[in-house]
Amino acid sequence: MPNAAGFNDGDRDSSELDVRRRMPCSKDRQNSMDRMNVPTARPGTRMIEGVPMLRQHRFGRSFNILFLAAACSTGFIGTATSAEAADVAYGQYLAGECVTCHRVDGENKGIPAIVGWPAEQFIAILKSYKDKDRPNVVMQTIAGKLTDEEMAALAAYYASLPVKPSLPAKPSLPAKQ
Amino acid sequence: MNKLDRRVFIVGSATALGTLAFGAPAVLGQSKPRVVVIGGGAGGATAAKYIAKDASGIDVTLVEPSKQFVTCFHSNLVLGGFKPIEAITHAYDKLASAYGIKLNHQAAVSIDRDKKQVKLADGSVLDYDRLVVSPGIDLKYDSVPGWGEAHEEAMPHAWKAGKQTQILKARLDAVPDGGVIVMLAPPNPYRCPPGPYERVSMMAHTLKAAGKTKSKIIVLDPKDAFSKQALFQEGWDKHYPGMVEWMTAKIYDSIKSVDPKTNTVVTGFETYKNAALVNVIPAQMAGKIARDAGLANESGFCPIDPASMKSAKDANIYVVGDACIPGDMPKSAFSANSQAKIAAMMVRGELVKAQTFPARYTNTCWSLIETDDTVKVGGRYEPKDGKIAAVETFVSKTGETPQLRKETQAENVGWYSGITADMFS
Repeated sequence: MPNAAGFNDGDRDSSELDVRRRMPCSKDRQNSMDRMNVPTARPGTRMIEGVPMLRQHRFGRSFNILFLAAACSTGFIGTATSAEAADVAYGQYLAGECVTCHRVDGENKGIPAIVGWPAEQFIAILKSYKDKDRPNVVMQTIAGKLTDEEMAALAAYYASLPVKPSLPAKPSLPAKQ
Repeated sequence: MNKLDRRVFIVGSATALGTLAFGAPAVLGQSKPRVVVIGGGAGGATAAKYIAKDASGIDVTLVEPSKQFVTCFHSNLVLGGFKPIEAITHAYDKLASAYGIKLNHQAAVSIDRDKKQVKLADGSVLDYDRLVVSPGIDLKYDSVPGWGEAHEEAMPHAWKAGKQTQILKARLDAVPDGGVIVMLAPPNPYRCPPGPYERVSMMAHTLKAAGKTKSKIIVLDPKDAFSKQALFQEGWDKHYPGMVEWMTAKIYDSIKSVDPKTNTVVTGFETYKNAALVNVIPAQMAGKIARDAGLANESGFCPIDPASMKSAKDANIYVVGDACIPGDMPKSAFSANSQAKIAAMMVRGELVKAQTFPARYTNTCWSLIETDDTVKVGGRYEPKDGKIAAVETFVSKTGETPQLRKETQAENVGWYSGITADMFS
């Protein structure tokens, strides 16, 4: 709630979804969107549609092939040869423009925390901004230029970040405007 | 654009793709590569942290004379009484403890580009393999006739935060009902394009909150238009009717002189005598150390390669933040933070063969007009045609609902928390 000076002190509980924070999305992907109870962007507008399953893995595979080819051609043997690692590295770079506002420690001080979100949910929200189902122009501008691959990389990175145990158990989502 | 293109790996040499995979460090010689960062603001602090983080194997020294950083961003909110100055004051400790950055709290006085050395105020010298220059702005003290560095207290600028912010705040609070404030707005290019106009709003808010609605703020602006103009003017009319008068040089002609002893401002159109407060925001240029090192061009600011933030004058130096020529980006803390991350990535790419990706930049500037009434402007940027070019931009609209403006203020507060955490923790 805003304080006497009109400021939001950052303790706002802006959770709109009852989504399990650490949903085992990789193991139970088939049912995860069904369980997610994805919100409407604005009253009276259509529901945000879940993204096709395994979208991020489609990209991941292609990059994995690229990477393996490079590794083979150079004799490089690394430890991070999985598609997930490739996505996370790219996602970490792309997240440079997120962390200026969305605190990487997962605290919400006026801008929602996005750390530890399940990947599908992360992508669905970005798509809803890209499609302008959600009205925040900052996020529309950010998401509007993100490709599916970039969204998947960001989602993989944010899903990989640890969530502080002290934070509330529900993810906080972008407030509706 | 195919998937490979989206992941273009920027490398200068034909070294194998594999060597740049996932931060595998390359050992260059016997010792760690050395980076010196000059300036601990939004550009420098961010660059130092992002170069050092994740045990990058780079020896990073941050040269910044102040032990605490008072952010210029949100200093207008201190002026308006929305925040105490302590809330915009930050320590550097965590950069040392969490990232191993060496803090050197003295002024950098010169750069020897041939020897790749930075000379410090105590005469000592720091060697560098790469240098990040982020000194911010210097004020052009000779740009307003009759005003200079000696008159900073009589006619504060408060365009560098800290003591100046407190002086301006004290002077503002002392303005009597019916008193006249004269602001000399700066010519382009300058730090924080919406800043003068958010400041006008915060001045008016302070006067109004104290019941001093007979007071007036005269803005003498050498520009014909300014950032978020329609939004500010709508807000001034709504919240502070009759209290703000903005004039371009087409009306006031020019500033003929100011007299700090009598708080007088003489223009070609009118003379304002015994003003309750004169806020001089002069013309600006890149910090002295960058200009002295020959990193600036005739504009007074430093040209850079938009794909890397590397100085156009020296391949071993990067220039970020207000001192650089940022193309379509404004000179803002958000911009500096965004540029610093690109510079840091490229430095790591050069020194430890870390993975690099094509540069892209972001900025948003929020401005508080009145309690719970905040607007924003921003965009995304990429290197194009030799500059950092806007890809897409947005700005708040006039007539937005109070609820949206209130949410935008929550964003503003959240952004401050986010960027300062990104810089200092």
